[in-house]
Amino acid sequence: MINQLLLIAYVAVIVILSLKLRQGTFSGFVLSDRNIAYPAVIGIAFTAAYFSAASFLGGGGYGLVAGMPWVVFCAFLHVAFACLAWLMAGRIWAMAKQYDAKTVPQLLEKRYSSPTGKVILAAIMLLLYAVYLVPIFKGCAALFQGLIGVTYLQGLIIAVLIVAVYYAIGGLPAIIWIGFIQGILMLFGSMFLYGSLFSHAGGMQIWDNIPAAVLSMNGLNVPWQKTLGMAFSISLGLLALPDLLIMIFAARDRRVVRFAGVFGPLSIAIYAVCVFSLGILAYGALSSEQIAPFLKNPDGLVPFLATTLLPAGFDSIILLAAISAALSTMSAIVLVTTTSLTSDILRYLRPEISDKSILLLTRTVGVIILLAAAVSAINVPQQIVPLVSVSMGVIACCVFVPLIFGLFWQRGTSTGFIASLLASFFSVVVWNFYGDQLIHPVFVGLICGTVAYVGGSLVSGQTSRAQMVGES
Amino acid sequence: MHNPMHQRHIRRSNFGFIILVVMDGIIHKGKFFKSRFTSLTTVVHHSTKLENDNNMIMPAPYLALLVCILAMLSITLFILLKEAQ
Repeated sequence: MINQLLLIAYVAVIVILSLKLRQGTFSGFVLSDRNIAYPAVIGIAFTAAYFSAASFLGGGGYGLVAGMPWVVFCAFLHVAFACLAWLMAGRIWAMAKQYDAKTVPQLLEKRYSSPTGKVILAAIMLLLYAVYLVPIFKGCAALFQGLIGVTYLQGLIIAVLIVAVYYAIGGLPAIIWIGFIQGILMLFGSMFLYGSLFSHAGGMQIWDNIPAAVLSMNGLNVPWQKTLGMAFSISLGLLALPDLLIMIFAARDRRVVRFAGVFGPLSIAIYAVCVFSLGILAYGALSSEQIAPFLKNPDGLVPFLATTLLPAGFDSIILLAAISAALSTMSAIVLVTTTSLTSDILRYLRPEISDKSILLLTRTVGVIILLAAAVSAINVPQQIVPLVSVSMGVIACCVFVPLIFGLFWQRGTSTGFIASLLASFFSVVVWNFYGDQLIHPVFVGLICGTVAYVGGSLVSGQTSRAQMVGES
Repeated sequence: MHNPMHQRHIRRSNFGFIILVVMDGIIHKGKFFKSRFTSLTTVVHHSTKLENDNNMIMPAPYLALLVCILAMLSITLFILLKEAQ
């Protein structure tokens, strides 16, 4: 009964906020008219949008299988990339404002004067974000099962309804403000779980109970090289995922972005250390019989810890925190996926379409994408982490190279931009199927994308200079 | 046999060490990498030594991770706040 009441209160807050923040213009819907003036809201919403249910469930449990390297690589890379992302955020915000870009493909289109590049990037985002939504839906539905005892299918329907309401009514402002509240819940949830393991094992004595093999940096059941690749590809998203970059675009001014850079990395550090440590700490707090079932299905560890170690009532907060992680990520993703279709691709094909029509389409198509992803989530593979890792890694690769070079290297050209998009996308996909599994596809994608970008930019730059000399 | 007083002393010095690194980072504006006993190598070496003595408060890689995170956050905070002034 408590769980049902908690969920009703949670949904009520979401609906009230969505109605209060409802938007009537396209710019307000996708960009909040660049008027968010609270650094803590942007910083923590950024964290909430980044960490999904896959991080809460898969990330929390995967330490059981991968051991200490998972904790060290994941937490270190997440904080490192978060710090870098927020150090660059001011420049990204300034560039977005200068070009009046509402989406990431638009930002890169204007930086490179390349409408074709924009459409290619938007198509890649549309395809892969839709894939990325599926495992998040799966995790979210499983959490609703645990929280209120509904079936998996009913869990999916509830998830669709909640996200659809606040996405369609409030757009980005609702996503950011609700993401802020969800982020606070996630931070408390992760700290409760982390503390409960120490408390259950008698404080720092927990380390003495953990077997040496778990604490070894050689890796437990997964080679450390593979764990490093997975951690790198997941955390790279912090630097380049469009659903996170739009949070930066929405800031009122550069000062807000700078102060948001204090809250963002700090909240990511707390969450990453608490959640990614859960798997190895479970060895010190639980018996081998309790752990055994989760070695095959690590995603089940976090709900088990919540119900076993925490007092009654607190377990609901943990499940609600995990649901928040899923909902905040889904809402941000559905916004960027939809705008890549409506604002980037459709507007490229039919430039005369009005803002009012685009807004209506963005609302409608977003709900359709949510429904399609939920239907696909009815039958998906068990493990969440590898699925997320691949789709997220491809998008991050495709955006990372042109964005970073676009910020810091003036010689980048449209040819280099398009070459890097194609090279990153195809190299990751091909390596994922035919390459050595010890080397993560994202490493390959980054190298191929960078070589193609620099090569394409230099060659096309020389050609255009030669043409200019010939004409003069 | 380990002397409990000795263990407590090492645990205290270990906590003190982490605080020292962070405070040094904040007060001396991130110059602690050049400082004689606060390089990250020394941190790892120090914590590994404790692990070998079986007097660790936590495993060496975990301790090193926490110190690195605190250092990264301190540097980021310093740069962002300096820019904002």
